[in-house]
Formats: sequence, C-alpha cells, structure tokens
Amino acid sequence: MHNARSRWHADPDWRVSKSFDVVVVGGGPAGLHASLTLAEAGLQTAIIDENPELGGQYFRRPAASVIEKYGDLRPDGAKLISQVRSAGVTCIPRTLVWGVEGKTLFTSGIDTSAMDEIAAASIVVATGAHEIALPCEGWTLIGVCTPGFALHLAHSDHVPVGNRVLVAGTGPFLLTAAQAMLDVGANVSAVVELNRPYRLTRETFRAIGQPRRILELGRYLTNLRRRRVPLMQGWSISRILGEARVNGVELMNSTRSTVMRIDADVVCMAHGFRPNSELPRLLGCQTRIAHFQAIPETDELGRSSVEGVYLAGEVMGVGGIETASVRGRLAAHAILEDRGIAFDSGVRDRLVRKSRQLNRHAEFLANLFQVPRSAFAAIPDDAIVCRCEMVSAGEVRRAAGIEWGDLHGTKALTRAGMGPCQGRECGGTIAALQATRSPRPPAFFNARMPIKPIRVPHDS
Amino acid sequence: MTIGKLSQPDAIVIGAGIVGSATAFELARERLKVVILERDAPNRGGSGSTEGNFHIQTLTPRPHGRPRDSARYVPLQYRSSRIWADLETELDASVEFKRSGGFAVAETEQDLEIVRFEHRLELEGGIRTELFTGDEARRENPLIGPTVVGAVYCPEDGFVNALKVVPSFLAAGQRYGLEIYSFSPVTHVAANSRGYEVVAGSRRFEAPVVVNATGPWIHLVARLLDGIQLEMLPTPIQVSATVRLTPTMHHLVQHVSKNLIVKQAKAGNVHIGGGWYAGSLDLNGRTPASPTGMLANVRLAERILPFLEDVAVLRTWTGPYAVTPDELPIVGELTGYPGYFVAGGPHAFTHGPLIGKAIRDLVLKRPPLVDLTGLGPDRLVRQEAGDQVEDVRSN
Repeated sequence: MHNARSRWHADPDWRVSKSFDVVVVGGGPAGLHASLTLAEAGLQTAIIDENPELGGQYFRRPAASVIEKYGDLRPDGAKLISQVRSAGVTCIPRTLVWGVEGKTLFTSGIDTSAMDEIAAASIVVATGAHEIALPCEGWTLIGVCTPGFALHLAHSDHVPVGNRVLVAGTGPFLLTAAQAMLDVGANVSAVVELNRPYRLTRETFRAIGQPRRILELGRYLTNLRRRRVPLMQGWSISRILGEARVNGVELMNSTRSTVMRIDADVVCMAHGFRPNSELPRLLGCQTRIAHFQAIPETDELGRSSVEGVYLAGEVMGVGGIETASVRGRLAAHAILEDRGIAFDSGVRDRLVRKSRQLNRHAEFLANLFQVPRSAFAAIPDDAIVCRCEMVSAGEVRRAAGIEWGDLHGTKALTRAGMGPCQGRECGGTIAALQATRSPRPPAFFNARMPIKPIRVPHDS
Repeated sequence: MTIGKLSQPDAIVIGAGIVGSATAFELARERLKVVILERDAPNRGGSGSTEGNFHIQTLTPRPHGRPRDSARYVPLQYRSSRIWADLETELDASVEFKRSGGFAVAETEQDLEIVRFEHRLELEGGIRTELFTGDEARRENPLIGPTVVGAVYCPEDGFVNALKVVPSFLAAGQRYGLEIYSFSPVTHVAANSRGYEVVAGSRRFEAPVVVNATGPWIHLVARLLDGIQLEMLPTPIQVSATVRLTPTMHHLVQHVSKNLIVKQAKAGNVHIGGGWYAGSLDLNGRTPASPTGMLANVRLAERILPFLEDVAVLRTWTGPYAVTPDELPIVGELTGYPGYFVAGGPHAFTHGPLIGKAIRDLVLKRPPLVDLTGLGPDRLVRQEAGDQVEDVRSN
C-alpha cells in the first residue's frame, strides 16, 4: 500500500511506537466493558479516549467537590473504571484518534498535540454517538444548547444551565434532561416533544419487554406532572426568539394551525443521536444509511465488514446504557472467538439473546421518536443549517435541485459540511434536504481525516 | 438491460472534469449539438480535488521524476495565463479568480539549479519571472521561512476555486443547449458508418465526433474502442486544508523539488497539496488519504512557511492525477480513428480551458490557437496488452 508513495519521495520516517493485541477506541460503557473482558482473557489491551478520564458520556465523573457534597450519582461507573485499570488495560486518555493506515491508529494529544502511532491486531470502535438538532429560526442564538450539555453541567458540576429552561425536540432523553434540570433547581418551562409517544397504546405495551426503562420514563412523567411542567406532545419549535440571547420560543402544533409563545432563557434541543461513525468509515467498514445517518454494518457480535475491526455501543445505533454494556462484551467475545481464545459460550449466548431483546426495544423507540420528513421540509429557507460555514437551508435546496448533481456536489457548491465539525452536526439535515430535491439514492458525507482538527508539531 | 432511444448529437464528450466541460462548452458555443457523459457526478475526479491553482511558471509537480521537455510547456502556460484572465467574463460566473503571483522556493543548491534553468526557459518563452535570493524572497513575502535559499517569482501564477470551475463551464454550456448526463458510465464505444456509437447507462448515442476527456480514466475509456491501449500513469494525490484563517497569505508558494504547493483560498483555508502520495489509487472507488503523507506534507509546509505551525489541519482529501509517461498533455485526434479525440493529461487544471479551445479548433478543422505538435495521443499507443491500473497498484 505504501509502494506508490516511494516513487514520489522516500517514505517519511515511519515508526510505530506502540503495539497491542487490541486497541479499544472510546472509553464509555461499551469500550470499558469490551476492554475488561479482553484483558481478563489475557489480551494486551489499550483503551484510548479524548477525555481526561474514562467513563464516556454516561459514566462521566463529576468534580470531586460535587461528589463530596452530593454523592456519586453513578458509582458503578467508578467501579467499572477501576476494574478496567486493575485488569491491566493500558489507559490512554486525553488522546484523539485522528487517522488510520491499515490497522495503525494515528493519535494526537488533546492538550499537547503530541503525535503517536499505535498499532493494533484488532480494533474495537466504541466511539459512541452525539445529539443532533433540527435547525429552526434562531437556533444559533446564545442560550441554545443540547439536553446532553445541560445534563453534563448538572451531573458534573451541579449547575443548572439556566433559570427557565425549555426542553424540546424528540426522544426519551428529553425527559432525562428535564428531570436533571429540576434536580439542580432550574425551572423547566415545558418539555416539547415533536412526536406523540407517551400514550397508552398497544405499541407502548410492546415496549414492556423493558419494564425497567418504562418504569424510569413513568417516574419522569409523574415527576413532571407533580412539578407542573407541561409536556407538549405533537408540538415543535417554530422560532427561537431573542436578540443575541434567547428570551423565548414560539411553538407550533403538528398542523401548524396553532402557535403559542413561551418564555425561556435557555433552550435545550435535540432530535436524536448520530453515531460517531467517522473512524469505522476511515477503516473501510461498510455502512448503511438510515434516517439520514450512516450506521456501520455488523454481525450480531459486532464484527464489521473489515477483518479485525469490531464495533461496540452507540456507534452501532443508539440503545442506551445496558445495550452499550452488552455490545461491549459481545465485541470482546467476537475477538476471543476469532483469535481462538477459549471462552464460556454459555455467557456469549446469553449476551446474544439479551442483545436481540435490547435491539428490538431500541428499534421500537427509534420508530416512536423518529424525525418525520415533514420536519425537514418545515425548515425555513433562511434558517442556517450549517453553522460552521453559515449556509442556509435555501442555499442547500437550490444546489440540491441541480439535476446533474448529488449530495457531495451540494457540499462543494455551498460549503455546507466543510467547517470545523466536518458535517458531524449538519450532515443528516443536508442529506435530508438533498433527498427532497434529488432522485439520487441516499448518501452521506465522506469521512475525512483528521477526524477532528489537529495541529501538527515538528518532529522532536 | 434495455437501451433507450438513439440520440444523434454532433459531438459526444466523455468525462465532465475541467477538460471535458471546457471542451463541451466550446463546442456548444459553436452551435454544435453536444452531450457530455459522466460516470459519477461532474467534477468528482481530479478537477474537483485539485487545489485549483493555475501555474504559469513551469515548475509544477512531476510525480514520477522523469525528464520532461519543460520548453514544450512554456507556450501552453503563456497562452493559458491569458485564457484564465478572461474566464469569468466568458462564463459569466465567479470562479474566485485571483492572480496572486507565485513563489517557487528552493532549499538546496540542486533546487537553485532547477530554478535558474526554468527561469531561463520562461524568459525565452515570454513569461515574466524574477529570481530572488532567500533574503530577497523573505523581504517580498515575510511568511517564507529561514530554510529557503532562493526562489523564482512569477506574477502570473494564481488560483481559482476548483469546486466552481466545472459547474460554471457546464452551466454556461447549458445556455447553448449542452446536454449533461451524470451517473452515466460509458460501457461501449464502436466506430460505425456515422462515426461512433456510444452507450452510457441506458442511453445510446451516435456522433461523428467523440472526445475522450476522462483524465485518469483515459486509458480505460480508450480501451472500449477496439481495445486501444494508451500508456498512462494515473497517480493518487492528496490535499489538506487548514481551518479558516483571516487573510494571511497572499501568494501561491510551491517547493521547487518536493512538489508541494501551498496557498490560502478565498474562504480562508490554507491548502497544502501535492507532495507525498495518498494511499493506493482506486479508480473504481475512493482512494484513501495517507496520514503519513499528510504529516510529511504539513511538516514540509511548516518548514517553508513557519506561520503554519500554529494552524490546525481540518481535512485531507485525495484525487486521481492523470499523468502521461512523458508528463506532457494529450491533445489530438487518434490516427486511424477520424473524429476520435483524446484530451487531458498532467497539469490539465492549468491547461483545461486552453485544451477545450484547442479541441474545438481541431473538431472544426481550424488552425489551432496553439501549436499542438507532438501532443497527440498516438505517442501513447502501446501494441502489447497490459493493464495500466494493475501496474499502478502493484508496482
């Protein structure tokens, strides 16, 4: 593969400074469970994460002073991390994996920009997912954030994100965020849910396959009612109001026949999660496109289309904490099997059965909380859809209407998706807008390296 | 597969990169009925992945390091410079044209020899260039770093936005009736009594003129006609862009011997391209970018332009580069196949608009606007069978 280059110039200094049996990318629940299982089976395992500490989003460690005063919200996270450390897993925090060549991962220190190359016989990608929001007028104002951001502020620092917080979008996660806002003393002016999921229908009873999850949601709903927080189903934000900062929102019902105004100083908005699929795509893994997002293809255990590359957790599609843990352990079992290492097949089979059940539940929720095409159509032409490059929905629609073009051509003509986030935020929206104007099959922006912007220091 | 109704235009252009779209535009403007066929979306190959520079001085990347007749280039560069200057008016569109001027910088005594040699050729050919010592170069452009010992400066070098050129040619062509068929790979080309029959997707065409302007795919498309073997060395190139900066860098800066070219685009991103190869070339899919190549390119760029040390690299992309064994362009009719033209080759971005006009002249049997002697495709015809793509992948 490197031969072509040598005809141009001699290869630059090629060094692989570290080498492991398995490198797990992503230190969330899935990555932690995968690395624990692998290390316990005797494999030399490393886990790489961008954050200062392992844990990912779900097990993000609160500040020490917060733990002292309010207790540890999720003590099982601390326990899992310490198990991983004592199992001998090499933990590499504060490190970004930005590129790949074969199975060598190119990394950059988050604080130092120091470059390294880490070689792996097998790779587990557990890079998780992140929230995405559907653009509307005013969504770029100061005071608009995601529910996940508000949740971090509440959990890590016990700080409310605002005084009057409006939570909007779609997904069960809106309830979790609203509850966290109430817990740290914020007023929640409303929870505005685009879909109508919270009804007692036969559909809902199908979800009782996951009683724990249903009870949790039920608890949130009861609590919202008790605190007199309106839960508005079938409503969405038509405009976010304010000069530089948010001071309110205008809501509309699904037929757009009724509009109402609610005061708020912060709007937490998200319409589901997007798998962080850049690394698997750079590794060459096949993906399918669902709901305008690229989902890597795997078998039941998490084997990707590329030999030696495995997936675990939310990068395979959102499923929640239990799903992430099960998928992490499944990917580890796949590696053990592929490397001919003995394992308890009874455990593996139980995990497979559990995973099937969880996936069915995840699929049920995904259908309940999907963003309908009409929601993309409702984005006004003058709303900015690519915030990095300040590209409006109208500009994207015009480019998408060029009969000989496609999604990538729209990116080239408008610069949508060319900014610092590389389309991570806007990619799904741009693809959805493209689909309304163009007969081309569904597409997705290509993954490019560096996965996130990096400085390149001189060789020391 | 059912083949649709036969369509009979005056000319069929295969490949919607800069050469194909310029050719199609020029022919349509002459009131010919023209169709352009593209396997993917227009501008998806080399023309849309290059940095978008037009190099009027003769120092441009020479990936295979073979001897090249630089003197043969000078008249083409000279003429191309004028054509780029008028292009936005001709197309009635902005392509972000900027005549920035360009430095080719030297770091060694060997580099300086190349600089002096090419400078002499340019003087003889009427292209204005100026020789500088390292200190003089730094006085002219204080961004240039301390390792630079000399430079040649050409005020005519510059750049455009490579993402806008091909769409602008096509849109201008459409105003003259050009028909564009994207996602229509050509699968069949055969000579017949009316010229050539061409099948693309579910469409069938017949025309007295066919222009093969498929860049890195030229040899693969040529093979469809009687198995003609053209010798080509398609090469994977990669370009990196930094995050946007406020206007910092005015000029094009290229390295004399390392094939690296750096400039700040209008949007503010600095492009760092050429230099080290990308991964193995994949003419059927996407060529992977090489992180080692990216690091080497960026480090070299930081050496000749130290301000880049503090700038974050945003993304890297790859593209195929159509290289001929003698590194000269291909512009001409194939002997034995009247009406079958081949157009493209290396440096086709700089020369694309010129090649479009040259093919127009050949098709209309006018004296060409530049001397095309020795640039025809006949020199690349091979008698023995072989697979050039395999050649590139396995060598």
